[in-house]
Amino acid sequence: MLKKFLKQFKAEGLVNFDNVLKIQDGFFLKPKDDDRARKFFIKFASQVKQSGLKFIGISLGNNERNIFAPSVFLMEKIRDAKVPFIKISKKGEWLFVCGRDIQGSAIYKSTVEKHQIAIVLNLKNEPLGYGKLIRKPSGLGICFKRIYDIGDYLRRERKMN
Amino acid sequence: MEKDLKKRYELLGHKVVPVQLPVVIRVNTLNIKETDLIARLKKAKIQLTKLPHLSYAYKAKANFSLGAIPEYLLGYFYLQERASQIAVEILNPKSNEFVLDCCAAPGGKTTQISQMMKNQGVVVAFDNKSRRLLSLRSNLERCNVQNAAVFLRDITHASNEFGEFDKILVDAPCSGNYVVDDEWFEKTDMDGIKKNAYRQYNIMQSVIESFANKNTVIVYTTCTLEPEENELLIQKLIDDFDIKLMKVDVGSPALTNVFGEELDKNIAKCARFWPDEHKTQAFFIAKFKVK
Repeated sequence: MLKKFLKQFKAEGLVNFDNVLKIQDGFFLKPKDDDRARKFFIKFASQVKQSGLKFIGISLGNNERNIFAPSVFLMEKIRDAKVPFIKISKKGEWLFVCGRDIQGSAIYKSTVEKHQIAIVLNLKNEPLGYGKLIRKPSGLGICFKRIYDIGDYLRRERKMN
Repeated sequence: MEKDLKKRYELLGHKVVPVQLPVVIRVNTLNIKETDLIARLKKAKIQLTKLPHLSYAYKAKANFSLGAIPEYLLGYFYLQERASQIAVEILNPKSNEFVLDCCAAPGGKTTQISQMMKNQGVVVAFDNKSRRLLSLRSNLERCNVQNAAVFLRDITHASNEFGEFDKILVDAPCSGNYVVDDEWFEKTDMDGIKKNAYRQYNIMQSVIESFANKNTVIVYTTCTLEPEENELLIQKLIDDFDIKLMKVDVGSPALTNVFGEELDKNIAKCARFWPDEHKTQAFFIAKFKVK
């Protein structure tokens, strides 16, 4: 799922899969800066089931009902790799993190072509999620279909409670 | 029962008063510079007041939910009550240390520990409820925590294959308090308080016997006013294990006389937050080492 997600952006090279650990639906990257954390990761990577390990190192995201929900850490990496993006207005940002698709009028800048997957950025260049351009942006019509947005953190929390 | 519980507080010199808890945020410096976030939130018409004695805490006032704004979703801050933030500051975890957070979900304190450690070293987090771990996982990811390992474990049944911890936080499951639950007096009785005290003792026994050495700093916290889960529990630990209490310089000194029972004078080194006195929720903090 992680590979498929990165492939959509032609960004498979961003992650060294030898350093990725899958735990249930989640994907975790071995920390590279801290020696103690790295050794700990290596030790417990080989005993996930018996140790009850649920999270370790850097979260790259997880599968949620067949949709990949990337972490902000991974989305920032993708953004920095200069993949196709759309940049949206403040109002568009509010609607998008509420799980809405994007209207043409909310798109401030776009490097994406029709039917292409793109990362969604706000005016501060921060990643908010990703989706697909379904038609040429114009006016109030929906032109960008949301696949995942960071409002999911809140929706997940509400479901848990 | 409601009257009995209220009367207990009167016997300890305090009243039951309504307390309106302010919304408090902790700036997550793992993701953003404090000055940058404050400028952004102020621009969004959120009133902020820096809280004393805490490194990154602000009282926040807004006419919308702070838990739904992009700055929250991007992990730039965590909504975390003042007393709860103090517990981690008292633990004072440092970069490159090896820290255990025993009852970690939903992760407010775990993310704060990682922040204070600047994502260096290792935080081992335990919780024994699978469902609560989802929330913990989500918060760790949102806050960009990179030095934590989370295990589904009950500390009272866990073996220590991890090694020696520098610091341990036990934010124990407790009876809670009336400030955060309108029906607290109706729902709480002495049996429940005693059951919690029994479980807390078992947790501490496991921590002391299996996870700590003489250099390990242990911080024990609850968010309840009940002496059975606080001072009386610490007295049992003094009686049964060789522990050395360290001074906690916040709140009020803990009680050394509980309903006529004289306790070890060193228990006054622990701290209590009374809602009527400190305008926070109820909180108890003990810090100690095993001799």
